[in-house]
Amino acid sequence: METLWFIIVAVTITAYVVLDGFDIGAGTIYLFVARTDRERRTVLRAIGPVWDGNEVWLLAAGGTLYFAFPQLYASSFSGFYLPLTIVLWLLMLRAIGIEFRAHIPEEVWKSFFDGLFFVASALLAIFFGTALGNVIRGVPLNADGYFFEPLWTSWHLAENPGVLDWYTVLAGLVALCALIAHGALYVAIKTEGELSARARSVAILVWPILFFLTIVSLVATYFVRPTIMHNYHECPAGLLIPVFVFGSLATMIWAAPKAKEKLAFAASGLYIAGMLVGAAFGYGVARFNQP
Amino acid sequence: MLECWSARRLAMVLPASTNPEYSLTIYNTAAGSHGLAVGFAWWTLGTILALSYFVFVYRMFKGKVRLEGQGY
Repeated sequence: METLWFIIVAVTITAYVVLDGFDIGAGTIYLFVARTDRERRTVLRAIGPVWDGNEVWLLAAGGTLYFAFPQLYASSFSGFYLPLTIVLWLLMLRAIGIEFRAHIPEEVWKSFFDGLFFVASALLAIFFGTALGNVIRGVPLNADGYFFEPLWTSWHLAENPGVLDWYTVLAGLVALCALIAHGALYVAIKTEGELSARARSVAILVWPILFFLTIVSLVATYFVRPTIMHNYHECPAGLLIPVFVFGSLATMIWAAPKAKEKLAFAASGLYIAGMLVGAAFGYGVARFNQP
Repeated sequence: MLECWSARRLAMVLPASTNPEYSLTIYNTAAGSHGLAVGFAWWTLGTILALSYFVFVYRMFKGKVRLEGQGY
């Protein structure tokens, strides 16, 4: 039953990242691909009916985590108190940016809400990647199962890490690039003409960076947590996951320039899901004995 | 393959940087087994509702965006 609930929570988190990922991604490219008021309204309409529904998967993930693994919830929510507060504020500011823009018909306020939407989306992408980086790297748990992380440290990996160090910031940048590509392809699907073409070219532009950062992050993960390979050694079938990840990346760069946006978008979603499943699989039980 | 996804392999949920013994696993953090079983029944129901909503909403708004009418 514990395993079943672990899978439920993991699948819910993955669904959240893939679904809300594209509207966060749309926010990160919003200022650059949508230049006129008309284009900006088009992008907002593309994500308008679904962005808040997508965010509910985050609530669902938090809710099931709280229900099935209360001690994990207690420990991680108190340990990650500072970044969680920041994420909550970013989620609220992003929503304000999306929803209030149409209600104040003055240029200054429109630009303000546009900027808010962009900044909050980009920082959310980085923070979610950073969060995953923290969970993979490990946190300074004490004997009671609690910990507290400061926001900053010396950037070195130490026994008492902070939320931001070189590894977690790297994970944040991978997430940012992944969501830029994912969101750009979504905008390309939902819009027409120049706007669609611009969004598609953003996805193509960011691809080499994403590819490079993906490789760097996999090597860095091995460096930070060598035990991540344990399960892969014992179950070589797990190596299909990285093959799948790179297959998705290849499909993305093959399909995007050919204007096959839907295929490319599916590939970017599968890439994100593959990275998360790969992390969950490699998570490792190297030094763990089942009770 | 099934064994690769078994409980023994997927147990760790929050590794400790201090002492591996302090790491949180799905066993030392899980709620009671009766609660988990009852919760699974309700979760199934809720997820069916949520999925039908998603199918509905994405179908309703499929295709390219149009700027006519009320909206953003």
